Amino acid sequence: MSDESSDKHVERVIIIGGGTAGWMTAAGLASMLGSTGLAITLIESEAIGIVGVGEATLPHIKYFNDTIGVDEAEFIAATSATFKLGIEFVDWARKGDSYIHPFGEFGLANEGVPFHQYWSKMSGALDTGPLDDYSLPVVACRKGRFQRPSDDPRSVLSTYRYAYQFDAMQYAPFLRKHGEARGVTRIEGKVTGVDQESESGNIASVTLETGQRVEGDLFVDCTGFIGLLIEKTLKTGYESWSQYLPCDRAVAAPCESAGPLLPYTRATADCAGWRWRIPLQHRTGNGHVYSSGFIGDEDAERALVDNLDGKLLADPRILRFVTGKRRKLWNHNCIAIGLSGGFLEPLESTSIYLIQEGITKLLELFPDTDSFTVEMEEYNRRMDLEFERIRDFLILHYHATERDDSDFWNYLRTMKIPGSLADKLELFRNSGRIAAYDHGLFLVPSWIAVLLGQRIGPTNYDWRVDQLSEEHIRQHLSGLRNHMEQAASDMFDHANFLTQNGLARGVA
Amino acid sequence: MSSAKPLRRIVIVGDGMRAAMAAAYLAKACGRAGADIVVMSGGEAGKTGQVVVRPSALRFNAELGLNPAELCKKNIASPLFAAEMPSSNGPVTLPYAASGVASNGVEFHHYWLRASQAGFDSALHEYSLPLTLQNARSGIALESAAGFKIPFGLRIDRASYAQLLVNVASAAGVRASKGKLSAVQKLTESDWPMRLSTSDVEVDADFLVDVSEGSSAENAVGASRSGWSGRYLRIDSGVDLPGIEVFRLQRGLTRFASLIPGRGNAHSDSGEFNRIFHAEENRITDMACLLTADEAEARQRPALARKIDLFTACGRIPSEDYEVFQPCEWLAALMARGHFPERAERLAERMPETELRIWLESLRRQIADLRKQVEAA
Ligand SMILES: Cc1cc2nc3c(=O)[nH]c(=O)nc-3n(C[C@H](O)[C@H](O)[C@H](O)COP(=O)(O)OP(=O)(O)OC[C@H]3O[C@@H](n4cnc5c(N)ncnc54)[C@H](O)[C@@H]3O)c2cc1C
Repeated sequence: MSDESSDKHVERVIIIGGGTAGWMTAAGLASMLGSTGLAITLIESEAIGIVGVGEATLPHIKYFNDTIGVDEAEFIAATSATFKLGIEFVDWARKGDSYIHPFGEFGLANEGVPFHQYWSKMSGALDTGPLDDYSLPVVACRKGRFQRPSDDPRSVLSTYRYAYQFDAMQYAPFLRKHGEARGVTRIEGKVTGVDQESESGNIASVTLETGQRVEGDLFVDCTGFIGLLIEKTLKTGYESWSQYLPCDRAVAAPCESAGPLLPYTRATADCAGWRWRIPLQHRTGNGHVYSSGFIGDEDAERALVDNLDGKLLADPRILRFVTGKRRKLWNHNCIAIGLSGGFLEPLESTSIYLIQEGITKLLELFPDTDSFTVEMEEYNRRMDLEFERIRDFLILHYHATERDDSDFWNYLRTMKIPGSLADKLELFRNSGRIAAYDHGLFLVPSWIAVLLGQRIGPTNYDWRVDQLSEEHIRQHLSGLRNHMEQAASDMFDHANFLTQNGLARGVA
Repeated sequence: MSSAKPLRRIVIVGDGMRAAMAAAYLAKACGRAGADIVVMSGGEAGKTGQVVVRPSALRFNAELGLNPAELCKKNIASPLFAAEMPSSNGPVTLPYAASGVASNGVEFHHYWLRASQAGFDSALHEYSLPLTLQNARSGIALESAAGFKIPFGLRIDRASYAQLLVNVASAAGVRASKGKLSAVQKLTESDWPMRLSTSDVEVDADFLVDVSEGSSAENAVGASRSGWSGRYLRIDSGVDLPGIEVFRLQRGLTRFASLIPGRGNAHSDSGEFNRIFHAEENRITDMACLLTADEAEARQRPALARKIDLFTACGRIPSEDYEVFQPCEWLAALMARGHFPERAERLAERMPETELRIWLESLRRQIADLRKQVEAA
């Protein structure tokens, strides 16, 4: 790939694609490297358009926005965003079940023993209640409340973080303004040709429908599922994970808002997939993610439309995908960020996070010249790890179920899972312990929320729990529970919080 | 749901500081749940002299009620801001905190590198707070460490440390049994799963923790590798680098306590222990190899080769799961072994060159002033 004898300084980055991935990359690079003389060009085609879904995020996005200097109030107003404290999973382990995976912790560790171990011991007692009662973000979700977290580590308000639910059609245009103000050049047009250097195979330039040729040193492929550079040109190959994550389609449609504005996303399991519900300020985003091997498009659409809260606002639209990732996310002088790099389905709102990780790692490893084999290998290694660990976490939701009411669930419940996940499950089943790692998105509280939410009950609890008397533990639990209840009650109603802080649509 | 039945008796095999660490910690972690902790020591004198405690082990001490300031006051210990490691090129100092200060999310050494490449002549250690405090008197050093919030370890007298731990262990009811372990017998017909024998006594136990300097129990049990297997945990002293012996014990014991099995011996718990224990062992061997082996041997170790290559290419130090050494220690070791980055991270270019020089000059002066104050004190 790189030719040592003619090391060329990287001065021009060309981003193809102006969806969420393209404009996040452009804004990120311009904010962080624009002042170093790096020229950033983004080419997008209005005729092709963007995928326009992807409305639920993770708390990391706030860090991204802050780092590139986005004003939160402007961002919220521009994208009609609401706050998000977690995801509710309905009907996953059994029909009728509901649990919330919060962006925060459960209870307080005691004597070095994690909180859920005490809860496990007492979970049979009537006055113990569900684990949810011991997580402030969960209690706040159930009450429809919100408040920004505190920086004071002694406060219970420091035990959670928040993300946003926003209008996906608006985030890219919002970032476009930000990027252009920092020097990004935008070219409107469809790329129809790609030229490669004959010897190295690196991409030298792209040609637009108009005949315009745009040369670059480094290319970022943000063309969505099509993968114009990474796949169509460089033939990188795709690693499909559809044997583990068989959903391959989604039908999406917005509807009118109804009921209180909830600070969380809902994912309801259906007979061949699941339905999302994402409350925005001006409407609710909905979709049905399903496996075409188990249900037809029409039935899937009906399942979506029949379960909407309010009036349908646009025709349902079908999207097709294959879960998995490119064999190399950085190949030659091309880095695939966004859907062009892979897609793990939206169950835990991880795609925008993966875009952000791609940008962060690219910034950290940004090559100086076209001799970048080492940087490329490190980028691919770290991104592979991110994808694989998220994949395991997603599989857990599907596999750890008692549902046997459809072929879809029977397949998922009985399928062979990756060894890395099987070991984690065995450890948790035995003793309620979580196999932790240093690198990866989902930390211990997330695993606890989903494992217990999916009814993976440990057969034993940590015996150090017995060092405290039952009465002592009962008091500890009841104190915590009251504290969470009180703290959540003192928060603001979610909709009022937006209005009173000047964050409501059209206010800022 | 029920708790796994608690272990009734854990026997620790070993001598001196190593056995005392295990006894004090396990008594604290499991004693209250009723586990009986017995130390079987062969009465060997064990090592003497000083031992290095890395900053990460101070929490372990704190859990046992051992406060670094008090240890220093009693002249048993002195604060340590860097450890001197043996290498093929002579001793190498690995600091416990980075030189300079990170700015805009970019590590300081990238700025230093960029300035050096632009002709600004200075050595990285001229910006090092830990190396400045390294020779300070205990009191000043501890005060400064608190003021600047920089991590420190301890150099501690092994025998005195062992005695303090023995006191903690005795207060927690640990029993000592003199005599070298001669046999470990698996019991099938008994309420107990194993019987340990010395020439004088026999002790029934649920679990055996072997921290001996040799391998007292290894032969008796038939295990061949450090780690957790069945009802046997062996923590050896590991690679002979300052700080590693105590690190291995501290990490091994705390992790064992957090995974401690019930009487029914859980296979997945030992799997989890070994997974992390051996990953850490690999990271330590990587460092030892970097310091003492030749390039070809270092390249046999993928994670180490990655560190060398990425550092050389762009000054970054990739991290693995379960790192033992901090990036600042890897940086010092890599440079001491002749690996230099070809360039600084691109993000460091954001600071204009004149601003960079002024900043570095001011940082260097602050450190030099501090050094004078420390030396005068
Ligand atoms: C059903 C579904 C639900 C999702 N839900 C979530 C969620 O809740 N949370 C989350 O984080 N993510 C979610 N995602 C993922 C999220 O939508 C994407 O990660 C995000 O929108 C980024 O898309 P993109 O920019 O990679 O691609 P796109 O939005 O498809 O953009 C591609 C761009 O490339 C341009 N382009 C393509 N070809 C050419 C060409 N030849 N010439 C010029 N330009 C070209 C297009 O014009 C467009 O600008 C979801 C995805 C799907 C499919």
